[in-house]
Amino acid sequence: LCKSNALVFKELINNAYDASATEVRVNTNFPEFNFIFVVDNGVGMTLESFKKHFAEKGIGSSTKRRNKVLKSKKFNRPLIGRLGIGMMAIGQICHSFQIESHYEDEEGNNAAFKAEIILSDVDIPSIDDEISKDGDSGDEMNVGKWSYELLDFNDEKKGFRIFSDDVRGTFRKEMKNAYSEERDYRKVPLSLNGIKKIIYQNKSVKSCGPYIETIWELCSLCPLPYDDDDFSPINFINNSSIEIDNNEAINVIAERQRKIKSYNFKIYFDGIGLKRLIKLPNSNDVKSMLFYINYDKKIFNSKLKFSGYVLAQVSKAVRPYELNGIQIRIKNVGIGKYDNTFLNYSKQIETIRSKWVSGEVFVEKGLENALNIDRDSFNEHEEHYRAIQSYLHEKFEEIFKTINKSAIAHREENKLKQIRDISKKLQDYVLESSNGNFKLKEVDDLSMEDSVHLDKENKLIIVNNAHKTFKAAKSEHLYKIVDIAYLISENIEKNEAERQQYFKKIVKKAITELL
Amino acid sequence: MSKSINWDEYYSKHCVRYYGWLPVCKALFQKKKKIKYLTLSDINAIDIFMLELEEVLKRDSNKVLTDIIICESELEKIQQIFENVRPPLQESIINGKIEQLLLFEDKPKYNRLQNDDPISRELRRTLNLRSEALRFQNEFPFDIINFDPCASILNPRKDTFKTVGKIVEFQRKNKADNYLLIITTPITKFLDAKNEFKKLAIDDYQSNLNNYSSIEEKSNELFGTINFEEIESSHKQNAIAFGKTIVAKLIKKLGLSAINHGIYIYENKDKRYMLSSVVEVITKPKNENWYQNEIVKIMEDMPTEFTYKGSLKNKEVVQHLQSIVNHREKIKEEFSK
Repeated sequence: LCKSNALVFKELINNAYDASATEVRVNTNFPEFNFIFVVDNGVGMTLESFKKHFAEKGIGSSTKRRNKVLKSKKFNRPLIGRLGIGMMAIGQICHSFQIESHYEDEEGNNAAFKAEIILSDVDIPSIDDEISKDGDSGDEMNVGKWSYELLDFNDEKKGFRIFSDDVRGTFRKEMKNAYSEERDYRKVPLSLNGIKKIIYQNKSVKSCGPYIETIWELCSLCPLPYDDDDFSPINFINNSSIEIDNNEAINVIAERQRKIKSYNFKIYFDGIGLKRLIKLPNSNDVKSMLFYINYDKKIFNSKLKFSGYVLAQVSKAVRPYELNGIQIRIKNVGIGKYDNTFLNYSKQIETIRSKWVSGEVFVEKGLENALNIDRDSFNEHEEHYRAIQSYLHEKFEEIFKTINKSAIAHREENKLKQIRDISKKLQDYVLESSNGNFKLKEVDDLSMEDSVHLDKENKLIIVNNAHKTFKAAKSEHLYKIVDIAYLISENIEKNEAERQQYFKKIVKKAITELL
Repeated sequence: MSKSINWDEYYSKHCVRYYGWLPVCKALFQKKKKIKYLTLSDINAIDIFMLELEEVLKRDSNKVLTDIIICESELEKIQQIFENVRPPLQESIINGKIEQLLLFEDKPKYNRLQNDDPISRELRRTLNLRSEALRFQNEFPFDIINFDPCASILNPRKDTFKTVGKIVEFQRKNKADNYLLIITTPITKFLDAKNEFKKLAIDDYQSNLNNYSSIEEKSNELFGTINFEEIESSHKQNAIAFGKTIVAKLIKKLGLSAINHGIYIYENKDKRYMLSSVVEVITKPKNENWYQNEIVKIMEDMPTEFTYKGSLKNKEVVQHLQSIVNHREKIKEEFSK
């Protein structure tokens, strides 16, 4: 059902979001990982709903889907869950779990219950079965044993909590083994600032271990606002190194941030307040370009609307790797990870330039029917998916052409700069190696026979950049150094042995210092 | 204990912390310079933040309180402790009842099963308990043990009573140097004539009178009787019974000695009484007469009593508790970013 541990937590968090919670707290008992505790302050789950749609009828009978409720009761949040599988996700990391709900029922009375669910191996339907059911089926699913008891309503506990101290060994092992060295877990910073620092010191989040990877995925996938400091694309506007194709791209990001903040939803994972973390470009010495994405059409009478941005940094790979590609978000929730195949864009995927690109696409209407049951991938044959793919591929064509041109110009510029730098260094080198007796002069003279020439009268060492030995050589600077060194050592007043020693010494020095 | 208790404003209990526990903890820190602390702290963690504020407990370079272990069995409370005691304590919270963790008996078959994920739920539970029990037992010895289980210790048949013995045993097994043992228990039921512990206390008292003339003399001098039940103050009965029948007896049995630094009785909002005793366990040989001397000391001086209403007027204690709460909230805010 869920490809990663983060996706299990994502499902539980999304349920809290749909239940109008203002905060949800997830505790994994790091670094022991021997229990899971998720508590929110939302509207809770009614006993009737638990019995009817979870315990009796099973997966696929979510109220959210059946009643076609599109917005949450408070904060006007677009509802995320559709299939009612969110709560069952915990079954992937626990053998059994308990739930407790304190809520106001439909008649306005306060009520509470707790239930225990002991899972057998959950029989998840195949994607094909799910599609054919069209969400209205009452088929029973075997999810194991369950029991419940009524509780006194407790206002302080208003909301929903799900917990388990019967965590699967596989989950514990995976999370714990990464920190198996004595006290190694002490290096894991349990603050968002610490996590940011570690992630951006590494090339990839994966190399930070499964715990930080889980936190990163949640930051990336959940309906969260961007961080307020440098770790936000909102700061693209303040970055002079970014060439902005269309200011609408900035407006889209700002509007998205405003909307998500208005949803008033906070996630705490082991006490760490999560935010979406995007720090691009990776450095200010790269040239970056920001492109705008916008689409609003009807596909077979059904509306598809999305907008977004693509940032390309020439010529530096996006760090961490996990930000490379395109992230599609439906109702503010990331679907899958950043797609570094660019929705199977065949033309650019194998080139180095694709590593420079990162973007987000925010789908406002449509595409939901393309979601597979895992809610983490798409049915690639679905019409909306095809439309978004086709639009983006067209856009990528234009984007990659632009960054190709920019990359070529950038490379030429860099080459010239490199030549200027090395010429300056060669000047200093000649002056120093000849004890101040000679200066360097570079010429482009096709008629000149030697690659380097000593002009004793003017005290010049003339280097002919047009000489065939330099033009043909890949390491032209190395060739120049050797020739210059030879010329200088030949012209110092010393015996043969001393000259040879001197030659070796200055070549060695030059290679170490110049190249 | 009443569910409605507000620990941040429980001043009679704080009188015990402030006048009873704190000076002795500070004195021990002066001697040892580094303290490892075991507590059953509630979610408010007043004891932890008091000892930190008073510089008995130290933070490491990452500002984490590394030398403390908290036992807690309720998942919800663990979550709250984890979030209250910032920065996160990481491995410091042991999930389980201290009684189960210390009385757990390991079996070779568990070792074979530990890497599996058995189908039997009961077996999984046992293995989880084993894992936490071994982790906990490996943390011994401690310098200060604050055994405040919120359940009565005064029943020799109950696990809570047996746990006190286990704590002392684990301390000895792990070569503990002198340490403080703070034990707190509700005492209300002790007054019940049918209470088994009371009968045991009466027998013990009689046995002491027969064996130690100094105790008999003191009993006559202070109470005008050698009949335990005729001792006028019920709180005095409690203090003597607790100090003698539980702590001193246990320590004597294990060949150790002790200094009793005080027995305190405090009242809660619901007019129920709690007893807290602070004992320094001496692991090196001491004067052989320590036992009778300590019993006489308990008879003479103890207990010190704090009423609920009286504590509300104690400005020094009220301010001290407030400063601890403020300190905790400040740390929490600082580390929530």
